[in-house]
Amino acid sequence: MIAIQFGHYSLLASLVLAVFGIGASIFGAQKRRADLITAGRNAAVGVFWLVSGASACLVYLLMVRDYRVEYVAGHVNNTLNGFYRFSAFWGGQEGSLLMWLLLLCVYAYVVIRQNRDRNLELMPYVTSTLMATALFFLVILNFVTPPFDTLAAPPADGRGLNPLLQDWGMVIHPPNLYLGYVGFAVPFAFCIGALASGKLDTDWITSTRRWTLFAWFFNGVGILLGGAWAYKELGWGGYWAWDPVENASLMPWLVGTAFLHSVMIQEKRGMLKVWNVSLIIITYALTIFGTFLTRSGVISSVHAFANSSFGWAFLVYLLVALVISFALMIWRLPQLQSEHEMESFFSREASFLLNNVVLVGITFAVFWGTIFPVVSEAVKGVKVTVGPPFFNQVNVPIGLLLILLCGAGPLFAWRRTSRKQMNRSFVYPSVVALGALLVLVLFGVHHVYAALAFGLCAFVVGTIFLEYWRGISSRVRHQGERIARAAWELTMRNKRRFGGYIVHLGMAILFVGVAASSAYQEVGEVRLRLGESFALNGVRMRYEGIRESATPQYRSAFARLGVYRAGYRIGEVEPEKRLYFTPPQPTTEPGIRRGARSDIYAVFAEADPDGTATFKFMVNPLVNWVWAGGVVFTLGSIVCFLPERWGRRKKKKA
Amino acid sequence: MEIVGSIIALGAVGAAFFYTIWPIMRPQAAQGILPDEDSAQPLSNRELTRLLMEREQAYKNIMDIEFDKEMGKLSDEDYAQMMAPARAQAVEVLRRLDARGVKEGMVPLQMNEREAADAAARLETKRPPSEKAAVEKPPTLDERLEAEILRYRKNVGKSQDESAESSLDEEAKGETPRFCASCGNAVEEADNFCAACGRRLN
Repeated sequence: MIAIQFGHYSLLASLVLAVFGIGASIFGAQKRRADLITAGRNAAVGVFWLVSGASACLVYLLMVRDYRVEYVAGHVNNTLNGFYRFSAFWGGQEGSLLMWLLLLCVYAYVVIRQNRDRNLELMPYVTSTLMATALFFLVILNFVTPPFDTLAAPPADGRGLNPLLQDWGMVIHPPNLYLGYVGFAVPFAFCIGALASGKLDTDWITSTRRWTLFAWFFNGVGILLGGAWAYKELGWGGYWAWDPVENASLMPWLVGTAFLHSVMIQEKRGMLKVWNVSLIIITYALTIFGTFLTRSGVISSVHAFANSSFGWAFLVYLLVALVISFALMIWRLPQLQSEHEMESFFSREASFLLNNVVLVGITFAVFWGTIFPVVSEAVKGVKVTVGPPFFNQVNVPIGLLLILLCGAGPLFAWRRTSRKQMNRSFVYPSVVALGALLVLVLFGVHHVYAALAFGLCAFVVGTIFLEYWRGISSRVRHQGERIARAAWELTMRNKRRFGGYIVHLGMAILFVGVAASSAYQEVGEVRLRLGESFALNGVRMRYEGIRESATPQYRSAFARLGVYRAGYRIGEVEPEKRLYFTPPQPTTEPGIRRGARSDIYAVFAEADPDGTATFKFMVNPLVNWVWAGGVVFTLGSIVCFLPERWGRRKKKKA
Repeated sequence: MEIVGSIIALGAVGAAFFYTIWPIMRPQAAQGILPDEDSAQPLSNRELTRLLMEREQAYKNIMDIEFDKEMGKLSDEDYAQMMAPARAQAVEVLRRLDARGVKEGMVPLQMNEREAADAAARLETKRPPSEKAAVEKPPTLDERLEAEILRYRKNVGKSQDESAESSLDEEAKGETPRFCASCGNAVEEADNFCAACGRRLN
């Protein structure tokens, strides 16, 4: 009972403090009153402590299965183990909103600590922007979906966690994505701080570079983990379906990617200021929009486990945030003029700008496809669903252009690149790309988009190797280092540039996997008697047996399938069919045999009383390249994130 | 139990409220008005910090151009054309630092903003009398720029303390890649005249 009351009152008090914090910070900054600014800051710290306390209470209540609390009764049950009871904190509506708020408060606290004696002009506005976001979630948590509501008659057992969410991938995917989503609030807050205070130099960008990178990285990893979960758990053989909520996570990442690139132009050349401000405002808005999509149930999706009535609140907040942000931007337009002109189309700046346009273009296409069902329903009264064909048709060509830019951008110099120099730079990557294309076509790759994607990825890889090679050979020549040493030093001395290249490499590997697995997936559905087999793309699968087992949560049946290639048994897969008891729900766990060349993917669809069983088989080429690309992407992001002086060779002592 | 819960909750909430309004309520409250800009540093320090950060940026720009050249992305003409304004900018920053009595080697290179602020505070407290500097003939700004850029390149990768001490012995060795002071073209150690613009090199 103490925990329930504590949680309840903490959230209520946080609401009051957040309002006070916003008012004190803004008023203090306007009147230049140090005491008010400090009070505003303390209010944010107070909100942090209270929200942390409330979150701890909810976790505690879940762990001890206090069924008096409606949320606890709705999301755990007596058989659920501690790990999943903990994850039920973000497994439901109220809890996940509380986690959003908690992360935001943690970030606000860290930002305040980091900037105790820095960015003093900006900080009151930063605090109030973060608190305004917190206030919105506090209003919802206090008045619309309170997590600490109690039941008059507590049940003996809870309803339990959705079985699909009972997977380690599902346990870490939402917090991961949220770390990213919420993280974008920090650069946004600094941007608003810069606009409101009029201190519009690059400080707000340099101060939040790492925050942006952090948010962007976790957003990206969250998307990948979501894909990995869908592949392993949902049993339809893919990892990306252009589901509205997948799109919602992709959009801020895309615009965030554009922002990460274009801020470099502002730092270096003082250009694109308005553009950068717009990008971060849009990124922030998209994170709110994404949360709205997941939470509102406006659009049907695998994720829309909630069908709640507070969608309007999100839209109102979104609208208010956008209007205020863009109004501030328009007010400051005179101070946001470019310091330089674009000098040439063949320059790093121009290629960055083009990549920005492409990224925003993809985002717009995704956005349109995502909201189209709602728009069509509002306009025509018919809900027209937009499926993967639309997204693929629009985004594949733009995506190919993006890969091309990803390879070409690094070959340009800042300001301008002369034709001669360009020819020199482009010749090697182009040869690599055309060579790869030729070999692939000769070996039977005739899918146009796939072949183009492979060729362009080869181009990207060629560029990266060329850049590394030039850098390494220069160091070997001038510093007398060995190649491995030179590669290390080169990366560590230019972390941003070469870390970025490693990220590009990861994306190239990932795109190869995406292109191959979407263009060359083979699917077959078949009904087999015990001992019969089925061949697909050179792989034969033989139905060899069935066994049953049970746990306290579910009963399951496994089908054993031998996998043969060219007559040799290369292994077996065991797809599983589960029936959960509470809530009663059947799920399928595919049997996957992973390989560098292709994954063999089997789904146990049905077992008939006559001893036959229905299976769905898939051969998915190069899916593991998607995950491998993700690992390289992670490494590259870490390099970018390292402190500037880290990892360089120390001076030799004489 | 309900009572205990309420008391604990109210206690926590009360503490948070008190913590928040304390800066306004306390008797010796800094009811103070903030100075025009950041209050943490006096105005002169802030200018110096800014100058030091501008120096960082100017050197970084020069290093980037050199890096692009090294990586084969810039032709000699492009390089010369881009280097000239970048160097002019660096010279301007050095001139302004000079006017404030900040001499070469007094402040380590490769600083982040916080370190620059600390360095500025240090310099303000023990500022050398500026007349003294005028007595001996100072090296020209271009010469200083050469030396500093060299120092910068060598320092990339060393910690600050190391960089301060190492700057001296490395300058002594004089294995300087030289640049023409008027056009920025790279020149050989033995050259007497710039190959690009013909200016005499000292």
